[in-house]
Amino acid sequence: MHQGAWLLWATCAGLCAITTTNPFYLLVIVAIAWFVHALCSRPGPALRSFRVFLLFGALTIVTRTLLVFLSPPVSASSVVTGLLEGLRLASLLIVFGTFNAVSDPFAILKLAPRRFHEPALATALALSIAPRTIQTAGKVREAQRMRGIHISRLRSLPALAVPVLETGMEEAMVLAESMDARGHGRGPRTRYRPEPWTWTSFGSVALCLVPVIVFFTAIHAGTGGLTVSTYPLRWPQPSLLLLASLPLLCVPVLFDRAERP
Amino acid sequence: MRKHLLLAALLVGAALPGAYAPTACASEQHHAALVVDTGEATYSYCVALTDDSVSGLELIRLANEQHGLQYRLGDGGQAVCMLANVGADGDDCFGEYPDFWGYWRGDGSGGWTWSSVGAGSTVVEEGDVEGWSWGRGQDGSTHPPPPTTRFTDVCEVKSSGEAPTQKTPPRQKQQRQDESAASGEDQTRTSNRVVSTAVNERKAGHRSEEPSQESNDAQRRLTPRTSTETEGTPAAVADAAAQEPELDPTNLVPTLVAVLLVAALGIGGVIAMRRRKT
Repeated sequence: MHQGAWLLWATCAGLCAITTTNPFYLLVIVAIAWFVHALCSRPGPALRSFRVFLLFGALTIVTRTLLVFLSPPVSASSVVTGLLEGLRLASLLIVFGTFNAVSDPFAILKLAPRRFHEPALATALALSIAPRTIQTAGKVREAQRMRGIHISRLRSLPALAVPVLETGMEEAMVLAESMDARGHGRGPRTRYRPEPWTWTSFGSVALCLVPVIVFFTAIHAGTGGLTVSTYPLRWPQPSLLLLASLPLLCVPVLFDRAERP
Repeated sequence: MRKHLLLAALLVGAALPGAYAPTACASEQHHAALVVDTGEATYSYCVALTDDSVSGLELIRLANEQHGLQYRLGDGGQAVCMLANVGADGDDCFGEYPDFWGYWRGDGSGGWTWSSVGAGSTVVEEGDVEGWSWGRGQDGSTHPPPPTTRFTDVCEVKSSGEAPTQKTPPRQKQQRQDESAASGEDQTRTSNRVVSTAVNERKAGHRSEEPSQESNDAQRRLTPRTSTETEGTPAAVADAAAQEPELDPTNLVPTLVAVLLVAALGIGGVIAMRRRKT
């Protein structure tokens, strides 16, 4: 699959998640993200990025709910509001985690037009920071274990954090130097083996747009149970049509698998 | 030439009201409902939108234009300080804190959700219900919401041919009995007439005088439609109660579908993961 197609997939899934606080839509979106990750994520450290974002998502829900308890009086309505808003944020994070796992940030960077290369580079670096940090942390832990240092307690955290941060800085410096050495940002850039947009990529993106259109139409029509009433507290009723549109977000999986050798 | 133009303009001018009047409310003109709950009284207005969509603040301004709702903004025109003569004095809209105007948005079935963004940046469209309630409480969990209100409680729905229904907000009955002076009774009657022209105003005390009168006139000017008098008939109330979504078996089908979808995708992912690892 074209890298841009994954970018658009993530945008579509994120847009659907943003429109709703209904847990039944959000959980389906999360399940789709997990499914896509399970079938299409790149081998290597990217595999772990999904798990990390899943953890972040869980933390978001917990934090958002705890915030509710900081401002008493606490009622069932307020706790549910906190949970659902946390869940929405968590689904966005998980979709982003899947995107990180299935795409190569630097391949996406190549798609950016020449004029926007610098902001795109900054974005790509920001996007790849999470997987790179995870990778470095793994390496450092392994090295420390060989030296007999077991990082399990809070006190031994500096033994992990300092080398990780140092490696991060070093990597950034090396990247900047190498970019400078290659005359980055001066002459015209040549495209080496540009990635072609295939019909399957086009088709899957077009199908991914369907749920977005359905969800936004539902917002405008004020139907579909997108916002859950928290006062009075009501059962979050999903709509069958909206639910049925969501699995279309799985379509890139089919095309991606078909294209693989 | 000029005469012809003038004649044409006059003709168009004469034809327009006739041509537009029947369609104006059904399809051309958009309406949104605005509910203002001062804690003692609840006013609801069916506001005609000047555009396809307006902001929450713009809706208040329109309600002022069309129905005479008193309001005052503060904090650079981005916050609501006073509505219907209730609120904080001065530019600091939180001057009466912990009492303040809470901003609620209708969920489409009569319930309310606390707006997470300011009224200056929300989008109000045809059929939306917007609520403002005066009271204390940090957020949607603690702040008192306005009484349960559907769009059809405030605005007539012409297309379905429904009679205007009006649900009596239950909370201020006590209050009104307390203040049932002779003038108070008069006020109630006036507001009932307003109900019949798709503006519900329920009020207590003499605060109502000015806006009620104005809104009445404005409403007559704007939409001279006739409608049956219904004042919170038991039938209407019962009807609204029947529409409350309860946990009946048919309603659980979409939920079950969602759960099955999640389960299928989850299990599919697990199987795929296992296969990849081996």
